[in-house]
Amino acid sequence: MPEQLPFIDVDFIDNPEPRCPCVLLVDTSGSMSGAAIDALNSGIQQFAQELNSDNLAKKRVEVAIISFGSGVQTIQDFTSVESFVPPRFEANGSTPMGQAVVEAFAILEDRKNRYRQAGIAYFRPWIFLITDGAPTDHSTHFWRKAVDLVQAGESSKKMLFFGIAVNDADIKILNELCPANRPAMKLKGLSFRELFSWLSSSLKTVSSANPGAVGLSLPPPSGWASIDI
Amino acid sequence: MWKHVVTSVRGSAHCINGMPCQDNSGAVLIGDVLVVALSDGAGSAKFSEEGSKLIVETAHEFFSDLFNGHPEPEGLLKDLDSSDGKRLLQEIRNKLEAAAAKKTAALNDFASTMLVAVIHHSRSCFYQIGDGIWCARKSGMVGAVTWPQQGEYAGQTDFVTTSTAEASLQFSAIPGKIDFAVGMSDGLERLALDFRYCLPHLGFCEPLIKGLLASDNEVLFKDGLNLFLNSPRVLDRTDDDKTLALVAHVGCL
Repeated sequence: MPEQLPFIDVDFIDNPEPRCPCVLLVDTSGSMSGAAIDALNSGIQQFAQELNSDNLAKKRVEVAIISFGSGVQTIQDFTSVESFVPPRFEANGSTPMGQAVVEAFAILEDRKNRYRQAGIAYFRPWIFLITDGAPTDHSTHFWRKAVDLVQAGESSKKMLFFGIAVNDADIKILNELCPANRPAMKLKGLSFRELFSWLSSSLKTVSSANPGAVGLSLPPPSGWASIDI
Repeated sequence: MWKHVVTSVRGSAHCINGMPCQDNSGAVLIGDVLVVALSDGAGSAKFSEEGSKLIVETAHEFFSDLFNGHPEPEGLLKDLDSSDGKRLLQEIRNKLEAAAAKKTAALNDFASTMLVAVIHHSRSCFYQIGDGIWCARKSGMVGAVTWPQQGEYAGQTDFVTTSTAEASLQFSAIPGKIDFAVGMSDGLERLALDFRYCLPHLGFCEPLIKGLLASDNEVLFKDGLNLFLNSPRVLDRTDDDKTLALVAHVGCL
């Protein structure tokens, strides 16, 4: 039935979409070179494609990438999925994981400040860490601070932290960082494509949440995780 | 002389997930005092459909008890303030506690918002806990009289059942006769409110008020409004339950 007067005259306002910030923390140390870094690169390509195919997610999800290898580098500051160009990682250097986590919290705080200033609502941020090793800054204050930030952030529900262990990653040390209720998950082989496929569908679920509407449950990580969670 | 229409329609996400419409709403006229109550039941709460219904009923009862048989509503209205909202909240919580006890459920299982307007030609009062909005126009000036209460993250708000409910109660009053008032649940917020400047979007409200005033049959108008709220244009923008209350003084536009 065609719309009738006066309803046809009702005008809607365009508000900025609420944002769902997601930081990828990517281990690009020397041990990732070869098949692992190639699989990671193609996984990130697919991540961008899958989020872009979702009308709401491409407007709402914002991605930032911090690599840790030869130093900690914000190689991609927060950007909408629409304008996200996946980088190609190269592997070399050590594993300053603690410092990278500290940096992730810093750029997240900065981003949230900007959202608040612009009157943009936001969902709980995600931090997603992928590593195949052990932190080379484990004995430094960075590690202590990283652990504190994650524990405090998780207990006050400020963000969601996911740790992904690749190949021979030291899962015991990684679990010092991960929240007790969401321990590190081990990647099955180099199934980065499945991992990023899961991440994009999880972010689609989260970012399409209608305030107060329906309870959320994430898709199961079967297909890429080698242990049940 | 007031014209009003109040309606709640189920959101498309609720239809897909087989969930009921968890919004409830209604208006009662007590003498010449119009009391409009809206409530949005939380999607995550098991019995919020019942919770929102109880909230609307309790608000009607509360103000009916206050105004019924009273010879001079003006005198009562003049003194309404946030303490009446707190007493209403307490009555609502008592009702919800009793309902929860019957089902051996928790109070939180009934989590819902509360939006109440008490409208009279001498003064109009607005109460709100949680998200949604009341806006009004008087002497040609339009503004929000309440605003969606939001937590840090999108989708977080207070409910009558949360421990911070009383602290987040909003109250405002407009002396004299308003031209119109519009109330809505959060399902319509993103279409009808300018979040950047915290203003109601007139392009949304005015055509509806004009339509209500031009209509000579409120039942037919409500049918049209329900069709509009279920139209593709609206469903494209929101999949949540939607409640809308329109109240206008005849001859105000």
